[in-house]
Amino acid sequence: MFKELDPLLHSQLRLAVMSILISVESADFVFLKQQTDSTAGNLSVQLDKLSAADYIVVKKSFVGKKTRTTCHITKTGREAFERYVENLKTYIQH
Amino acid sequence: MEERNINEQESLEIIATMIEQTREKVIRQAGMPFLTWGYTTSVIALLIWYLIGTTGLHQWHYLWFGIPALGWPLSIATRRTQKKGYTTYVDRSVANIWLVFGTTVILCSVMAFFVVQMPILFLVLLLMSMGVMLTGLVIRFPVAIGFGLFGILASFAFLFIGSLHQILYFAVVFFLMMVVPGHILYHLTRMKHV
Repeated sequence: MFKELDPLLHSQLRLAVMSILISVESADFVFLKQQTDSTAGNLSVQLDKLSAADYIVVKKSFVGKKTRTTCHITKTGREAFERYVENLKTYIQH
Repeated sequence: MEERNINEQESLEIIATMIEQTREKVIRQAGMPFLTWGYTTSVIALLIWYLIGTTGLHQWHYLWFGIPALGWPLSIATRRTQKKGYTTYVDRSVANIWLVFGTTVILCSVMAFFVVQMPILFLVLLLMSMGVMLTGLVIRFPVAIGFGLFGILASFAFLFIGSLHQILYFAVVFFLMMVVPGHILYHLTRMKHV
């Protein structure tokens, strides 16, 4: 029996971001952009979607005169990711 | 990458690739203390061995304090230039391992110089080998585990070797134990991204 995959995670860029954030304590916008090879605009939109679902927290701070955007995964996000992987297994096993 | 739907196979590939790439970056960063402290200590030890050997003056032993004096600014400088863009539990664990072992080594050195006689090179090598081995265990890097174990075993030889040869032996073991795994670590992770 196939289990439904979370539509918020079942997208290339959002899943990549969540996979990175699950492996670190926090990551900044530039690092996520480099690792996912995405555009700033697209990444920003996807981060907003994940943040709105309470999967990640996005914090903006200043380093000197530059703004720095840092993201970390929440407990809800971690649980959603683990559930996604568990559900994904049902597809692979069949 | 862009915003598009994916199939289940692609999902698995994305998860595996992103986690593996991030892990490799974390491991490569963990190799930097090996190189910074390995080179600093080996070079200063060789310098002391050479200077005492040629001049016969034991005041050159004060150069040992050049290791923290040079090593700390170098560590801070390399951290600043790396601009990692992320923090991890592994980072924090490795940093804490070196903070504890580094502080203990400095305390032992000060005690050995000014308070009470002790086999300081044996202690320093033993403590630093433990740091290398623990770092290897945390980052799951067998080369560092092996070289750390080698350092622990080699340190006991200091209890039987004469004073001036001790310093040369110390420099060589330190180089093998820290610089070699540091370079292997760096090149292994770099090669995967070429």
